[in-house]
Amino acid sequence: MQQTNRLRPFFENLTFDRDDNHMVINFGPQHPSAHGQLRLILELDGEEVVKANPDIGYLHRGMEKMAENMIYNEFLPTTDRMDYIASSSNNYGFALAVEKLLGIEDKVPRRAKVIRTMLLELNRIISHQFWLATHALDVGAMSVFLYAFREREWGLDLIEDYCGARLTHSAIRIGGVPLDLPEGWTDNLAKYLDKVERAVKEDYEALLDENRIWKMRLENVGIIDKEMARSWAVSGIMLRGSGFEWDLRKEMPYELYEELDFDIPISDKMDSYGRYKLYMEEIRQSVRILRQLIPMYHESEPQLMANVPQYISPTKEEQMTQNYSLMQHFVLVTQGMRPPVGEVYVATESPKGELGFYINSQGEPYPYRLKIRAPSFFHTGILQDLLVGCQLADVVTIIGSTNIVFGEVDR
Amino acid sequence: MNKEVIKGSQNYIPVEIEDYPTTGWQKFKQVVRRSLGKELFVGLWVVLREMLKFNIHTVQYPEEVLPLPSRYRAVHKLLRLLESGNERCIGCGLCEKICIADCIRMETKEENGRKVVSEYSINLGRCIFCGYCAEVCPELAIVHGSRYENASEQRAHFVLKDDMLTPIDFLKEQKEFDGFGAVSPNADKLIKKTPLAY
Ligand code: SF4
Ligand code: SF4
Repeated sequence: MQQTNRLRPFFENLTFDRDDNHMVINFGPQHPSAHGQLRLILELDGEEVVKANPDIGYLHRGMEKMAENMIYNEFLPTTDRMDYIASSSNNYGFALAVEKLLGIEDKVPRRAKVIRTMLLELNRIISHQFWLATHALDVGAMSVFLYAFREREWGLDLIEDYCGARLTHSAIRIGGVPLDLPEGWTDNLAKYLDKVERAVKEDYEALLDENRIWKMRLENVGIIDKEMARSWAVSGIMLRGSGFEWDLRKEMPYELYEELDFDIPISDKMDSYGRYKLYMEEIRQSVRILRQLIPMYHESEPQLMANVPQYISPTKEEQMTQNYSLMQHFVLVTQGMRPPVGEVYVATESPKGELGFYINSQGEPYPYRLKIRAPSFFHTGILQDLLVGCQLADVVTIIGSTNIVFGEVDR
Repeated sequence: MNKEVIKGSQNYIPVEIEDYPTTGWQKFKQVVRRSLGKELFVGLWVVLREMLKFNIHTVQYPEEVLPLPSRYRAVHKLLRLLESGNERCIGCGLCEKICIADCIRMETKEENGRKVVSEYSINLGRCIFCGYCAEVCPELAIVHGSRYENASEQRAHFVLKDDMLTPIDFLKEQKEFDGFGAVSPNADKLIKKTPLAY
C-alpha cells in the first residue's frame, strides 16, 4: 500500500509518474466551472495537461435500479432528474420506449404528438441557451450569461404555464400528454419565438461572434477529429461539429419530425467555435420548427391520450362518469400496466445527443432491466483524450463546450 | 391511419465560418482588422442598448412576487364538495400507491357505515411535486395549491390534513385546480354516453 500524504496523493486504479516535476491536481468535484459533480484528476507539466482522468459518480442515484422496482408510470418523473436542463426530452425518450414496447406508438393522438414535439423543441432552445450562458460565463462573458438566462426564463415560463413546473416538468405521459395547452399559449409561444430569434442575432451573436477573446479561447481549442469522435461514440452536436451528418431526427424520424422542414447544421471545423455556431443555428432551426407546429396544433383533434384501455388509464371525464373506466383506472394504478415480454431500444435526439432507453420486459408490471444511454456519459469519457496536451485554462472551455450534465452522467 | 404522410425536408447544411488565419501575414491582417474595426465597441453598444431600453426584468422578491400560473404545482390542498361541504376524499388510497416519493400516509376508519379518512399527511420533505397524486385521484380531492414558500421551524408542519383541507368557512373561495389531473375545460362535450371501451 502506498503511503499517502499531501505530496504523494493516492488514487485508486491510477498511477502517476512521480519522478519528474509533474503536478497532480484535483479539478472538482466542487469546482464552480466543473459543471456539476465532475472530478478531473489532472497531471500537469507546468500549465500543460499530460494526463486527464474524469472521475464520476458523485451524483449517482441508482436510477436504473430504481426503475426495476417501480411501475412504468411511476418511473417517468424520475427521468426528469437525469438531464435536468431539458427534462421533457428525457420524459419523452422513456415514454416512447415504453410505447414501442407496448406497440401503441401509432395510437398516440395527433394533438399529443404536436404538443410533444413542441415541448421537445422548446426544451432544445432552453437547453442550448443554458449551455451558452454557462459556457460564456466560464470564458468570462458575464453579460451573455445574463441575457441568455433572461430568455431562458421566459421559455421556462411557457413550460410552467403548460405543466406547472419549471425544472422537473414530467410533461409527457406514456401514450400521450396529460394536459392540453392552456388558452393563449400558442400566442405567447409565437411572441417568445420572436424574442429568441432577435436575441440570438442581436445579443448572443453580436456579443460573441467577432469578440476577440471569445474567438481566441475557442478557435482550435478542443479539436475532436473524426477518428476520435467515432471511437468515443459521441453524438449530437459534438458529432456534427466534427463534420458527420447524423441527426436522429432525420435518420430515424420520430414524432412529427418527418413532416417538418428544418435544416441540421454541421461544421467541419471540429473545434469549440464550430460547435458554438452549431448551437446558435440549432436554436434558429428550433424556432423554425415551432413556428410550423403552431398551425398544426390548431388543426388537430382535441384527444390527448391514446385510447388503449389495456394499458392506458381512461381520461378523468370517463373515470368520473363510467364505472368500468374507474375500475380499469384502479387496476392500472395499483398494479401497473403489464407490457408483453420483449425488449426494446429507442434512441432520440435530446439536446445533448443520442439519448437511448433500453427496456427488457418479462411481462411483469416492472421492467426486468432498464438501461439508459446518456449522451453526456460519452462526452465525459472523451475528456480523457481531448484534454491531453492543452493548457489548464482551456480545460474549462473544453468542459463547457462538451455540454455535459451530471444528472445524466451518473444517473 | 391512412392519412398520407406529408414529408418535410430536412437537410444537412454546413454553417459558415470564416477560415482561421494560419500564416503570419493573415494573422497580421486579422489583428489590423480587429483593431481598426468596431469589434471592440460592439459589445459595449449591445450592453448599452439593452440598458437604455429600461426593460428591467429583475423582480425584487419578496416585495414583488411573480404571478403563478393556475397549473403551478406547489403545496397540496384537499378540496371539499361544493354543495355539501363534505370532504371529497373517499380514502381510496390511489394517491398513496402512486406516490413516487412514498410520502403520502393516510388512515381510514368506519363511521356510520361509511369510510372516512381520519388522517392524511404528506411529507413535504420528501415530496417531489410531480403531480401524480392529483392526476390519479378520481375524486379531484387532492390537488396542488399555490403556496411555495415552505420554510418552517418543524418538520411536523410538513404537512397535515388540517393544513391542506379547505376550511369549511372558506368553501366559497375554493378553486378548482387546472393542472395535472384536471378535467378538460370542454369536458361536458367530450363525455360519451355508452361506456363500451372498458
Ligand atoms: S406530488 Fe408526487 S411526490 Fe408529492 S405527494 Fe403527490 S405523488 Fe407524492
Ligand atoms: S386518490 Fe383522492 S380520493 Fe383517493 S385517497 Fe387519495 S385523495 Fe382520497
